[in-house]
Formats: sequence, C-alpha cells, structure tokens
Amino acid sequence: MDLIPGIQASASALQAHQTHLEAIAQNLANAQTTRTADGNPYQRQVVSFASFLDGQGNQSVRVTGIQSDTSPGSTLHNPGHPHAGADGMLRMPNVSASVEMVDMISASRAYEANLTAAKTARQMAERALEIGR
Amino acid sequence: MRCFSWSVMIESLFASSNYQASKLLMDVTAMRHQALAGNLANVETPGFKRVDIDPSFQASLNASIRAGETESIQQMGVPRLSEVEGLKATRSDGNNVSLDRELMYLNQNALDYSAMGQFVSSSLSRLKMAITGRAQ
Repeated sequence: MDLIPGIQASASALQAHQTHLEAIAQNLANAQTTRTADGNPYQRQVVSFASFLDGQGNQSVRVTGIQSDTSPGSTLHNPGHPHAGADGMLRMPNVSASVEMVDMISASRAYEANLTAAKTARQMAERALEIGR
Repeated sequence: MRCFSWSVMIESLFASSNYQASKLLMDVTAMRHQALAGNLANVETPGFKRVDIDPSFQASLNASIRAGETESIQQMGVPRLSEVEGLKATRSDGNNVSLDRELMYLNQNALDYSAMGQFVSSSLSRLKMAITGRAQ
C-alpha cells in the first residue's frame, strides 16, 4: 500500500480528464473549420475511457483512444464560400457547441472531484504522520 | 523474568479491543479511500460498477467488538473490496458511480480516518504519561 492511499487512481483520472478537456477545446476551436489536410471538414474527436486494475489494487482509468466522430455534419447553402461544392452547398464540421459545452462541464467536474480525492488522501497521510506526536 | 512481565504489562495496554479495532479501522479506511478514489477516477468509464468494502466485514467486526474478542479482531485482516449490487445506473452505459455520493463518502471516510488516528495517538500519549509521570 502507498503512503498516500489511492493516489495512483486519482493521478490517472486527472490525466485522462485533462486529455478529454484538450479534445473538447480542440473541437470547439475547429467548430467552423470546413477544410482539413484531407480536404474534408473537421471531424469531432471523441475520447474513450477504460478502467484497469494496477499492481497496487487501484482501479485506475486510462484513455483507450481518441477517435473521429464519423457522423455527417450539416450542410449550408453558401455559394460564395471558397470551400463550397459545385452545387453551392458548404459541408460544415459535425461539432455542436452545446454538446461540447455540456461535455466540458462534466469533464471539469470530474477533474475537480479527483483533485479533491487527491487532496483528501494527502490530508489522511498527514494525519497518519502525526500519530504519537 | 522481569523483562517478560514488563512486556506483558505493555502488551496489555495495547491489547484493548478498542485500540486493536481502531488500528484495524485505520487500515480499512485507507483501503476504502483507495476504493472511493478508484470510483471517482472511473466516473466517466462506460459500464464501470462502483466498488466498496465487502459488506460482510462490518457485520463481523461489530460482532467481534461487541464480544470484546481482541484475538479475532487482530486476525480479521484487511477486508476484500467488492462490486456493489443493486444500485441504479447513473449513465445509460450502465456505470453506477454518482459523483456527489462518492465525494460525500470520501469526506466521511477521511473524518473516520482522522478520528481513528486521534484515538491511537491519545492511547500512545496516555501510555507515555504513565511512563514519564507527566503530561507533555
């Protein structure tokens, strides 16, 4: 057992949620990106998590992958746009700002909760060191 | 011979069932913190089920404390963690971790740990007072 209980699980979760928040920021930044390197509109990035049991019995979490959301985005009639097709339709990225904002709130709440768990663990270790003083 | 009787005397100060139980409970609460931290870490993991101290542990510890069986408390050891049955899923993927519930348990558990630490600490300082004859 570690001196600070459960710190591995909390640390892994902080890292995982950080990655999630980065992906959300990237999605929001590219909400209007109609052309990427492959010539298509930007595709929303989705982060997936999985739990794993590490050597010390902690139920840690890790990011198993960052995949592109392949669902189609909306199309707008905008013939003046340089990225519009021959029919005057412009393919937009499949990023929805409201979905990203909701995800961001839940990811940052999860991040804060894990930070609280790490702080509590630290306080517990301090209490243990005070025994006999 | 004198040495032996001294060690028996000291031993009996540490052998009270409350002292033994609080030592064990410090281990158990540290382990429970580990379980709760794991639950919080997996609050967004699809299909994750929350884990906690095996419920049979509390029953057997209560029975041992009530009976004042120091021996059996010492032999209990740290309990197993098990998945909690019968909780409603909080996400559509079957994950049943609720952030608020885990945080509440986390605070409660840290207070339990502090209380046990306080008890062990004050037992030791009482012993020190008995040896030196003065409060520090």
